Amino acid sequence: MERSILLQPQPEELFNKYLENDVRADERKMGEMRDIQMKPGVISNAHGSARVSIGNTVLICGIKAELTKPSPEEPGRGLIIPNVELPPLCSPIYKSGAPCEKAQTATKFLDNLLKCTNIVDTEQLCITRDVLTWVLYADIICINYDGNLLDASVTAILLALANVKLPMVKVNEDEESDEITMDDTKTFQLNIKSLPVSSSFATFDKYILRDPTRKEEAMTTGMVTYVVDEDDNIVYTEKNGGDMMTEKMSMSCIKRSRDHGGRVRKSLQQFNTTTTNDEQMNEDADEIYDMMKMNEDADGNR
Amino acid sequence: MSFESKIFRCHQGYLKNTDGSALLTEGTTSVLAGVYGPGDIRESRQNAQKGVVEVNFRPKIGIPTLNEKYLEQFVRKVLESAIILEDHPRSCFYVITQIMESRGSLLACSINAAVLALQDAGVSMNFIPVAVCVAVCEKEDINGVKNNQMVVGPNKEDEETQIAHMTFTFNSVTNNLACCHQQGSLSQEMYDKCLQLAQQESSDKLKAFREVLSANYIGCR
Repeated sequence: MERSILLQPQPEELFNKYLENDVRADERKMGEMRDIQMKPGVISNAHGSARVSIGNTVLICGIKAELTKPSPEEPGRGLIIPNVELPPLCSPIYKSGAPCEKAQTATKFLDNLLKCTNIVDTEQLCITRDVLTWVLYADIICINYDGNLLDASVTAILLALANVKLPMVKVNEDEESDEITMDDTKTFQLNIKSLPVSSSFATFDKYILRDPTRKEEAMTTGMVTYVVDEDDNIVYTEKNGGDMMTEKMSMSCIKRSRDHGGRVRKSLQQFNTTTTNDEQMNEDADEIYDMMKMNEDADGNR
Repeated sequence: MSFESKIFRCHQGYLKNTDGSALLTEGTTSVLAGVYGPGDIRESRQNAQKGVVEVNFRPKIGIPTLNEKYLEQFVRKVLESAIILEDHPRSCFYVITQIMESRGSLLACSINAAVLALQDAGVSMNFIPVAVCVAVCEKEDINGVKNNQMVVGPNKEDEETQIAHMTFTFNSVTNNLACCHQQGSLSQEMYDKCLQLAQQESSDKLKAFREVLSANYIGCR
């Protein structure tokens, strides 16, 4: 059970004492992750959806597809537009109104990640070059925020993209009419080429905390996020402020990111089936509902 | 490395109303940074223990978008760890970075401009953050064979053929990594090589920073 550090009269001293004894407020080890649970297809009206929870952080991703004319710069490609929202529901810090800075930077992070990786080849979204294409609006809404927004967002958007089912569309190339016929009975799923997985760490002095909770994020000074793909390539790195990272610390974090990536990818691939039978997919999803607890060794974490 | 990327020109004290300012040109990219501080900030955003840093990242044309908001956080977080904020409780440092010309290595140039502006304002810092940009680009060599080359301080043409783009910010005192942004697929080996290359370049850049300061304080104005 998590002790409420912030309610103590001297939160920083108490936090330091925890770290000196190699333990965290919620009794995890320094390199230990919280339980991850994933479920695809949670929103029936959306073309694709997923719910991901890392500990108490719960995110829902819904993907809605719309038809549009492709942009003149890339006439043979579709678009994926992510949007992360942190509504006032998820945490007492966030107020209603314009999106907070955290949500905006998370949106841009996902946008950059989708553009620089090959998760979905946007050419498969294009129906007819320069005429018609799909645009996928991926909305990620946080239901409960308890730290580690980026990891949960990346997992949610991957799972939701794998879950997307788009109807077959034909453009009637008649000279008189420009008819578009949509066939809801025939659907196709996206070909997910790559599954990059992100791992976030909070840095505080010489300590590195894996998968920080909201309270840990408030106490620590910086965050590092590594996104690693299945070929063990580092696809995206974001180190925001905080204390200096020595090479040894970076190497240790990258190694953990790779191990974590492998495990999450295995679970994601179980959902990445191309079956068209919805009932079958829901049954499978229920069986694989709980993912194994992510335990890591405490050594090599400093 | 072309002749252009060797250009490092800084005019400190460019703006007359700010507490500190710097117009920095690195290669073909130019950023104007202005600093006001330590100054007033409304109570709801004050921190009783230490100062607060606010960065306003302005594009060359148009209103700031999500892209600028994203780059802002890097500049802000680096300055938060660099400036000795404990000396200025309940105060705020306003840093405005205005992009004058963006033709490659933008984030590195912005961070460096903000740091030089803070130096011009005489703000005490724990260390000097030195930002370097490295890109891995697909280049054709003499025989027409395409291979990946590391380019320090890429310009606009280099960035168009890039596979990966990195901005590293180093701590001048300990030479550790203060801030990092990388996008694009890189093997561990390539990442390490780029980091080493950036570290070498950062020591040259630090010398250039020192020359800029000496010119202002030791030479005649």
